[in-house]
Amino acid sequence: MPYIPEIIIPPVLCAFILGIAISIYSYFVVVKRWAFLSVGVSHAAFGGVALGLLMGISPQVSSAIFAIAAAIIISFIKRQESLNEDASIGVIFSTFMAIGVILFSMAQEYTYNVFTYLFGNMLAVGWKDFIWAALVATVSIAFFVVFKKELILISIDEEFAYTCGVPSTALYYSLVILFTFTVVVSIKLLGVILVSSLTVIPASVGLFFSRRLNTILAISVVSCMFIMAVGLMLSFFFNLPPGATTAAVGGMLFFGFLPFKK
Amino acid sequence: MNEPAIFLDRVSVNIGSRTIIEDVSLSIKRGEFWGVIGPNGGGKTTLLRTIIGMVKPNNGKVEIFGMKPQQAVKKGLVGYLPQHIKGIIPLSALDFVRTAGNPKFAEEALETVGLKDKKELPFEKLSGGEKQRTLIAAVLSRNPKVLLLDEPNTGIDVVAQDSFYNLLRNLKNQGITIVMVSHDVGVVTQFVDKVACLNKKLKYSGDPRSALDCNLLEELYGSKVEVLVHHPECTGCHIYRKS
Ligand SMILES: Nc1ncnc2c1ncn2[C@@H]1O[C@H](COP(=O)(O)OP(=O)(O)O)[C@@H](O)[C@H]1O
Ligand SMILES: [Mg+2]
Repeated sequence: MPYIPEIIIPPVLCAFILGIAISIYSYFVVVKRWAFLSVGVSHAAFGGVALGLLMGISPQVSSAIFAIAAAIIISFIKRQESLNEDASIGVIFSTFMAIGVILFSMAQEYTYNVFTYLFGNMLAVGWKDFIWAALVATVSIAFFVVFKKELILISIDEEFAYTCGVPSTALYYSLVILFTFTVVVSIKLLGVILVSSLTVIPASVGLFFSRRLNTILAISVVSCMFIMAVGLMLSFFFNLPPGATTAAVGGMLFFGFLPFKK
Repeated sequence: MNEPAIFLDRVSVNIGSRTIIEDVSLSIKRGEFWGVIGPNGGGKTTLLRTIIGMVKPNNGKVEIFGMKPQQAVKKGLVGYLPQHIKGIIPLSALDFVRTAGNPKFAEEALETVGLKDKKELPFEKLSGGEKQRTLIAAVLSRNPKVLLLDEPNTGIDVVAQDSFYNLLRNLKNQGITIVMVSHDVGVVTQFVDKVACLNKKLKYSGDPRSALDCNLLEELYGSKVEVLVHHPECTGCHIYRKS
């Protein structure tokens, strides 16, 4: 039995518990084409982190506020079906990100932190982060279980869901907000730049092989666990940022399975 | 009890700065079968979305059985089949009908649309027409009083179309009010009680036979058209554009 340093236990537990929630959200990200949303909220969160550090409040809290503001604006624009939605979404998250960069450079003693939040840092993740992760993952999974039927209908077509008696708008925004919390809590571990890759890859792999929800979700969870496990191991042993190693492993898994797509 | 099933009073809809629907008034009685025709982009889909309350009119009002559309939808009175389903349906036909419809009547509804044998197949493996009928089964299992169908006959072959129209006629005979959007002018006008011709404004509403009037169609479609009515048995009747 090799020696396992205690310091990696919280990040590893965080990775697994967040991985389960993320791989289920991943289904919505892929079928509802939400990749822009996950990129948007993670970049917006970066601005919030900087502000929190500068003002001496918890970066978790300030980044959650920034990210949720961005998530609501972005999904509101998306749901308007207005023209130019891509452009407006691009402007929103680059603005939030820019605010983050400016704030970080105003507070130079924090530049060390920038790298953590950009690309993730296993060693920055402690037991307190684990509690947040456990909370977010539990609420997410409870939400999926309770509203399974309604969420499936929303993933199929919101308008159709509405005529089936589903409160589409309320559930849509609840899903977006819970998803945003999950992304925010994952940022310390995976970083703002690459966390979105993990919200896209697992369900994409599931959809390569199946059109049955339960199978898709099972493949998604297994892929996500695999990516996390290998990614964190590489990160730890080679002292690389975990955001980069997990995204690289995820990318390899994606392209490795792509030729076998059914 | 005497208010119409669907009532539109001088409804206008703008999207952005464009007027998509202008000053449309319609009164659709209970149990009537209406066809809505008009050119692509004429606002047919928008009209249905306005009736179900997904799109709010900028002017005028919409009522279903005298209620606000949202209220009628909440009460389960409205069945709606969108022109396109946006996402994928990762379930078997039966599981889908159970999820989207009333689980108690799921099997029965699939039988009504003739898909009893295929109920265990994954939805995504069904043919275009079978998918369409599965969607209708889900809608029907909820026992709606008003049925709104957006081009339900695209991708269905002629034979399947016949049984599809028979199904609609049965529903009509059960007292369900049906509004069906279609681009197949000739076929629709053979089956419906009333027709509405929409190209931003309501160009015509009433007896379907008069809707085949070439002057009206010309005005509606904006180019010279001619309707060829084939032998009744081949359900054919198409619009040809003369250049
Ligand atoms: N969400 C939307 N955003 C922008 N334009 C729209 C939207 N929905 C419809 N339109 C425009 O409204 C017009 C009517 O569309 P639609 O109701 O789909 O027509 P139809 O169903 O008769 O083909 C089209 O020009 C279309 O481009
Ligand atoms: Mg249409």
